[in-house]
Amino acid sequence: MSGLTFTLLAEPTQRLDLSPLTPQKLAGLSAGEIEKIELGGGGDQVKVGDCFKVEGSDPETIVFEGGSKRLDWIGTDMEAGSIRVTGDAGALLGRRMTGGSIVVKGSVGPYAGSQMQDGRVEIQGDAGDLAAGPMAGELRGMCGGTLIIRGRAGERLGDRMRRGLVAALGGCGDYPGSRMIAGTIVVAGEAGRMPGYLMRRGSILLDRPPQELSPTFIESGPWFSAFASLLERHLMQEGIVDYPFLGEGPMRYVGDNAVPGKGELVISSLKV
Amino acid sequence: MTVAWIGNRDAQVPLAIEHATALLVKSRCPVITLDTDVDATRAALALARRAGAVCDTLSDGVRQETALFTSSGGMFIAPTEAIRRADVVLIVGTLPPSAMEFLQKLAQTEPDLAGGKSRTVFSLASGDLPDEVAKVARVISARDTSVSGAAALLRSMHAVRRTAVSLEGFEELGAALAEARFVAIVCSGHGCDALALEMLQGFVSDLNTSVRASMVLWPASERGWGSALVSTWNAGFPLPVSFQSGVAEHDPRRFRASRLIEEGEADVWLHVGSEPVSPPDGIELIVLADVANPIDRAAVTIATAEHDSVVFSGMAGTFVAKAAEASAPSAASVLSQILEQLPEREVAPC
Amino acid sequence: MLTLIKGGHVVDPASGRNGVGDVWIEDGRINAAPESREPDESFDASGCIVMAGAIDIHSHIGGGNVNTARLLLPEYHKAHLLRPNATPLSNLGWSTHQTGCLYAQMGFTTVVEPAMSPANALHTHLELADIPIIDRGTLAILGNDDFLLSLIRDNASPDMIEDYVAWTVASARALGVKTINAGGSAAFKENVRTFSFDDEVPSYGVSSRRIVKTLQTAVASLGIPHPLHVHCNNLGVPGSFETAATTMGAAEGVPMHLAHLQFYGYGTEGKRRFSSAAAQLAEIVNASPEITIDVGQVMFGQTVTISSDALRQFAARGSARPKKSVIYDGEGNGGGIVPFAYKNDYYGSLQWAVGLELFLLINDPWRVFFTTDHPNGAPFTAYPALFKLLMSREARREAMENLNPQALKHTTLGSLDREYSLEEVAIMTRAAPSKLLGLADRGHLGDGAVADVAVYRRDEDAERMFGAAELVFKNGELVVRQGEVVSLRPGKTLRVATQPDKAIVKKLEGYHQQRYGLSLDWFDFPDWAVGRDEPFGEVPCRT
Repeated sequence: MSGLTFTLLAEPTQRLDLSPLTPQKLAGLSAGEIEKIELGGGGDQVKVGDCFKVEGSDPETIVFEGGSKRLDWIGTDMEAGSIRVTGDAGALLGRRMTGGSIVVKGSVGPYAGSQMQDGRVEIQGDAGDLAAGPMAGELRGMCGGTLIIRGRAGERLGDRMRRGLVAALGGCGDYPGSRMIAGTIVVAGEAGRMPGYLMRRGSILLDRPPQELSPTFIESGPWFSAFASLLERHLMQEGIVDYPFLGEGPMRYVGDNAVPGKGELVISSLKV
Repeated sequence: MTVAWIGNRDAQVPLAIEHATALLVKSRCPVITLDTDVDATRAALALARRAGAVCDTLSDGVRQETALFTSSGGMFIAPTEAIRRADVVLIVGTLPPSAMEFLQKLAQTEPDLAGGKSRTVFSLASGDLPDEVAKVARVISARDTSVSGAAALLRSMHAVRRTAVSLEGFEELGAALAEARFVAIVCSGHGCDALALEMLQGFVSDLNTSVRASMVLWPASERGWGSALVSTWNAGFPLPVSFQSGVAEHDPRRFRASRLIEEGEADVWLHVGSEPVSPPDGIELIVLADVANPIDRAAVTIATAEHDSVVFSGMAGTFVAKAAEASAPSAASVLSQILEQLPEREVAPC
Repeated sequence: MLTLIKGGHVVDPASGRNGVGDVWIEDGRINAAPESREPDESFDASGCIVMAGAIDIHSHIGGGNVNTARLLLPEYHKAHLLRPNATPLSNLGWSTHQTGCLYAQMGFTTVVEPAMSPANALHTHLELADIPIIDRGTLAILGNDDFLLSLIRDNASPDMIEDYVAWTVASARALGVKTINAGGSAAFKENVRTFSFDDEVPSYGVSSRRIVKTLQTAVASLGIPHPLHVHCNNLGVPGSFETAATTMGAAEGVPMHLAHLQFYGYGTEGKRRFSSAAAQLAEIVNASPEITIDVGQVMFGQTVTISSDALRQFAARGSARPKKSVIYDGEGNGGGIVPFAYKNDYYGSLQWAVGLELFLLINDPWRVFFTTDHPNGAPFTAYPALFKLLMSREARREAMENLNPQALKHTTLGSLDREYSLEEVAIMTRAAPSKLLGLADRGHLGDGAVADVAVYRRDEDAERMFGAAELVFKNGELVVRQGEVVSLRPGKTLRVATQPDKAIVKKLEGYHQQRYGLSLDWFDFPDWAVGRDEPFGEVPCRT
C-alpha cells in the first residue's frame, strides 16, 4: 500500500487549516471523501480537492508534495504515523501532537511543536517565533517529545516549555527558554539576547555565548554533570548532531534568580 | 471642504469610497490598521468582519502591553490614583511623549493620600526625561544592561538574591521601598517588551507581600490601546484580530499587520490613523487620515477629521469624550459608507 | 401594528393571570383591551408558556473589569481554536454581540450590570451600547471613593451627601447605587488586608457600617427606586455569614439589597471549618421584610471571577486557575479579575448547595433574586440548568449524587422538598425585579407595559424549556424565533433621573482641579459620546 500524497496544485491564495489531514482523521476514508474535506483558515470555502491532487491510499504515511508558508496546523493532534512536507509549512506545525513524526524540508512559521506532548518533529529549514511555545494566553508550551530545527529558530524558542527536548542547530533569536518550567533546549549557533529569562527550571545548552546574558544568572563553575555526556550521546544517537557539540569545558550558570528559578544555562566558550 | 484622492489625482469622496470598496471586494487578504477613536474602531471592526479582513494596530508597544495581559496579567493602578497616593515612584524604561505631562505631575506634586509623606521619584533606564523630572529623579543605573536585564536585577536585588552585577544607586531605592506607603512602577510597552513588563509585574507582586505597590502601564499609543480595548469587547479579542476564516481569531504573530504587509500576504491595506505609512510593492493602500495631500503611493487617500469623538486617555486611564467640529468626514462615517457598499458575506458572529 | 400572541398559558404574577389566554401588542406596548379588532399578525402560542421578558438584576456584562477579563483570557474564547470549536468558556457570552444574543435566546430582555466605577462610566456605557437586543442598566459604585469618605469623616450634612450621590448617579447614567466592600478597597490601598463591617478605613476613621448607612440613607431620601445594593465585606471567607447577618441587622427597617448572598453563606463547622450557614441567613431574610437578596448561585466548571472588591480579589489570586490575574487600584474601588474553576470537591459542592438552600429556604419569591453573579458563580448561560434545579427536587437529587457527600452533610439541602412553580419563577425573574428596580413599565404584561414577551414551548424539562425560547419580543419586535435570533435591534440603557444640585458640581469642580489638576469634564461625558442614537431611557425617581 502506498502512502497518501497531497500535491499542492498552486500557491494557496489564503491560509489553509490542514488539521483535518492527519493519519487518524483520514483512516478509512476514500480518496473521493478526502477530496471533499473542507479546509478552513481563509475567507473562501476550500476543499482538499481544490488545492491538492490526492494520490495513494495509506494515511499512516502522509506526504505534502510542494509546500507553502500558508499551510497551517499540519499534524495537529496527530497520534501516530508520519507526515512529510517537501517544502515549507505555516504556523502551528504539530500543535498538540501526541505521537508519530513530522519532517519538513523547508522552513515553517510560528508555534512549531506548540504544546506537543510526544513524538518527533524535524524542521530542516528555519522556524518562526515561539517554536515549542504556547499560543496567546496559554500557560504551557511544549509538554514532551522532540523538536529539531536544523536552521535558525525565531524568538522565544521553548517559551513556557514544560518537558521534552528542543534543538535549534542554526542559532535562535532573543529569549530562548523564556519562562521555561522544565525540559531541555539545545542551541548550536548564534543565540540572541537573554536566554532563560524568567525561567524556573530546565536546562538550556548553548555552544557559544549568547548576545546578552541576564545578570540574574550566576556562574556556578564548569559543567561536569554526568547528564552532559548522556545528553550528547543521546543527541548523536538520535541523529540530531554528529559531533559532541558542547566541546570541552562548558560553564554552568544558575537562574533566573529574579524569579527565583533553579534552571541551568550551560554555555560553551568554544566556537565551533 | 472634503478632499480625497485616487492615486495623486483629486477625486470626489463618494468616488474615492467606491474605488476603495472595489479594492476591498477583489482583495484576498485585506488588512486594516488602526490607531483611532472608538467609533472609527467600531466601524473598522464591522468592515473587517464583512470583508474578511485582519484588524491590527501598527504600534509594537501596544502589542507588548496586550501580551502582558494575555499571558500573565498583573497589578495596575490608574495614573490619577498614583498621583494622589504614590510616595515612591520608579520609572522604568522609556515612556512615549504622551506620558510626559504625567511624569511632570508626578515630579512636581506631592501625594495628598500618602499619610503626609512626600514623593521620591527614581528612574531606571528611562532615557531622556523632561527637565522637571530629571531634576528630581534619583537615577538607578544598570550600566550596559538592557532594560529587561535591569528589570531582572531590580527584582533579584530587592529579594536579596545573587546577581552577576549590581544596580548603582539601589540602596536608596531599597530603603525607600521598605518604608513606602504606595509604590508606583511607571512603565510602558513603548520602552519595555512583554517579558520585561512581566518581570516588573513579578517585582510588583514581590513588593505587595509587605507594602502596597502597583504599576502604571502607560499605553505606547493611546489611540492604539483604545482600539485594542474596543476590539476586545466587540470581537472578544484584542488586536490583532482576524476575520479571514469567518470567525474572530487572535494571534499576535500570524495576524500581525506589519508581517502580513511586509511578507506580501496582504494585498489591500486600509490604514486609519495618523502615523506615516508607505506601502511595499504589490499592495494597494487606502488611507483615512487628517491630511492635506495624498499619501505617496496610496491607491486611495481620503482626508478625514476627528469630530466629536471618544478616545483613550492615558492620564484618565479610560475613555474620554473630545468635542470637536470639522468639515471633513469622520473616519467612522467613511468606513461605514464602505461597509454599506460591500456585498454581504457569511460570517459567524463573535 | 397590532400583534396577537394567541392561546398560550399566560403567567403574569403582577396581574394575577395564570391560565390560557391571549396577549396583544400594539406599537411596542402591551394592549390589554384591543376590543374586537383583527390583528395584523398573529402567533400561535398553544402549548406554550407566555411571560413578560425576564430581568436580570445582577450580571457583569460590561465595563472595564469585564473587558479586562476578556483581555486576560483569550484562550477561553470559542474561536481561539478552529478545531475543536469548544473551549471551557465557549458559551460564556464573551463579546458584546454574544451577550445580547444569548440573553435574548433565553427570554431575558433587561439586564443590569451591577458594578460601574463612576470614573469609568463612559467605558461601561460604550460597551453596554454595543450589546444588541436587550435593554441594560448599571449601578454606580460608591463607598471607597476619597470624596465620599472625606465628606463622612468631616461630618458633611446629609444634604451634601445626597447631592454628591445624585450627581454621581446622574453623571454616570446609573440606575442605582452599589457599595462593594464599603471602605475595604480604600483600606487595601493603605495596606490593610482584611476588613470587616465595624473596621475603620485608617486615614479617615470611617467604618464600613457608617459608609453603608450613609449611602443607604441618601439613596432612600433621593427616591432612587432601587435600594442600596450592598456587596458585604469578607466575601467568600468561612464564617462570613456573620458579616452578612450584621449587615442585614444594620438595615434597620430601611430597604437594602444584599448581592450574591451565597458567597456569605459559610459557617466554620466541620473538619474543614467550612460549612453551610444558609439556614441562619434565610431565617434572617424571612424575618426582615426590608431586605432583598440575590443568590449568586455556583455551578460547576471553568469561569472567571470579576469583582470590584479589590481586597478580596487580591487575597484570591493564589487560587487563580489558570494561574493569572489582574488587580486594579482605580479611583474608588478598582477591582480584580481571577479565573476560577468550580469543581465538585468539598468546597465547590458546599457552595453549590448553599445557593440552592437560600433559594429554597427564603419563602418570599418577591425578595430572592435569580442570579449566578455572572460570571462569578457561573456564566449566565447556566441559567436554564439552574431553573431546572429549582423546579425539580429529582433533578437536585440526581445532581447531588455526583457531589461530595461530606460537604452535603453540612447543609440542609437533602431535606428540602420545595419545587418552584412557574408562577414563582415569573415572580423572581419578572415581577419582583420590576418592583425592585422601579421599572414599572416592564416585568409584567399589563396594559401599556413595554412589550417584552417571552414564549416558551412547554416542556417537562425546565432546562430545555428555558434554554431556547420559542418566541421573544422586545418592544413588540420579534427578536427570537425557535431559539434563534432573528433581529439585532439596539436596546437602551436605563438610567434614573436624579437632579443634582449646582453647588455640588462647583464643589466637585474645585476638588478635581485641586486633587488631579484635571477638569471635571474628564469625569463626565455628553450623551453623544456613547455613539448611538438615544442611548438612554429614563426611569423616574420615587416621589
